[in-house]
Amino acid sequence: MARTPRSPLSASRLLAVVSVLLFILALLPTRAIRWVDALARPLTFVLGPVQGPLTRAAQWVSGGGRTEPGETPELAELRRRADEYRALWLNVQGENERLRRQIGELQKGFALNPEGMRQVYAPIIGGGIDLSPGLLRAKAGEREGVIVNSVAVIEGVQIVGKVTTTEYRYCLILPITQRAARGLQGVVMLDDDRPGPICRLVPTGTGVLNGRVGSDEDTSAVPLRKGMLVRLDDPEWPASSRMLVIGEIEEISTHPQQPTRRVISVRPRFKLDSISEVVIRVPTEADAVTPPSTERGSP
Amino acid sequence: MRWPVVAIMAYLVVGLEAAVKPALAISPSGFRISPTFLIPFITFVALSGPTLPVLWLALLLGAVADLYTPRDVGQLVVLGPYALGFMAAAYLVLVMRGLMFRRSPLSMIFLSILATALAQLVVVALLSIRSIYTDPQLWSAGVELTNRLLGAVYTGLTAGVLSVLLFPLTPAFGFQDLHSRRFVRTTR
Repeated sequence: MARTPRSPLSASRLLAVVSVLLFILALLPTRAIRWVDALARPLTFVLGPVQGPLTRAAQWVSGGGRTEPGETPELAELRRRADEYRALWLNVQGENERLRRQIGELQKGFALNPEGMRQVYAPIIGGGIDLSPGLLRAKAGEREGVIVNSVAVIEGVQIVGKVTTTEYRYCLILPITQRAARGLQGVVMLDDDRPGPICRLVPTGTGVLNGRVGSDEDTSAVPLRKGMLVRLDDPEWPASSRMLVIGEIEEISTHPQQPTRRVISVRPRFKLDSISEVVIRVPTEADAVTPPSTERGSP
Repeated sequence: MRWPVVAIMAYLVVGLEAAVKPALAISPSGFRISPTFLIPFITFVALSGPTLPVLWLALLLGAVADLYTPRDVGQLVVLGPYALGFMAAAYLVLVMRGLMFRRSPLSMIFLSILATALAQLVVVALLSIRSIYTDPQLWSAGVELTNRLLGAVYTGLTAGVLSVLLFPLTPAFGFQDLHSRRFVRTTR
């Protein structure tokens, strides 16, 4: 009996061809696969309706990502308000200093921009299916006026990260503890209202940021202890986010090559990869910082 | 195999994967270990389903996993690693199913663990090759492989849960009994 000739487009051959194409696509350089992002956008609309409720249910069961167990809700609310007022006061102090300089510069004839920001509440509905990039997907996007480089915070003052991508209804936030975030500059608070030495913090990828403290002889003698707050003081971030909390000093050690300099490990007060909601501080046009080039190309 | 039923269940499982997986993730000693729901689902379908449709299902679910995983700072999607990894996982189950009791939760748990390990091996291999010429500082193959292989063991838990939920629904999937298909006499 004659064999039926196989169609050139049989399912098995098509599978083989598609597999080879996917293998090639997986290894192409970043520049050659930028267009694939356009294929991913419709998925957010399709999966969002089921992901949101399931995420809230899962977070309700697991209890969120606080690192301070045993706190009553009333105490947590009071602590949150105290932190907010303190950060606001420090920001206003810095603002006063800036305004004094601005007056001086205006008198010399320089034009300066006003500052401001708007706050948008956004629940976190998860990240990607692969957790290794560490990005958080928030349910607020261009429809709510969120722009790239907006700062996400939790509990009013704890920095979560920056918005890196926006879609119509969602945005992606890169937590400061992820290695792709590259690091930020902070100031160690010697007490509630006294800023101390500057530190450049780099994320280790394990939920902690490490950095060297200060760069001169004066700062090397400043006493540091575990539990001290480190606040944001980075010109690459919007001015309205200055003095927000990066975290608390968890460990202090000596730099291996420079024994006179100290290295601190800073841990945010919340587990940033398991939070349930954020507030996105959208800068005004004048407050916005131009995002750096994103041509990095991590796998 | 009834594709509408498979599609609906796959949609729910993808939702579980995206929503519940971060909540189940644990971080002992600097590792980040999380289970998967997708591969136990693929394992369930592969235990009883026809070969080619199972491989297509695995490829499509893997492609969804790739597309729904933003990389770099959220502006890059790499299509291929999970699609090929899930296909390899499905192929492993298809090869080994003849040696297992197909309706046993233990079989599903055991095969899910092996299949997840193989899938993650493929994913790490492809992403590690990419990291050579993209940004090697942001990718640590050893750490990723350790996290993912431990996650494969953790997947035994989700496989056990899914087996309890999915095995009673087997008739709805319309799987043909492979034994009766093998011994059907064709009349001419």
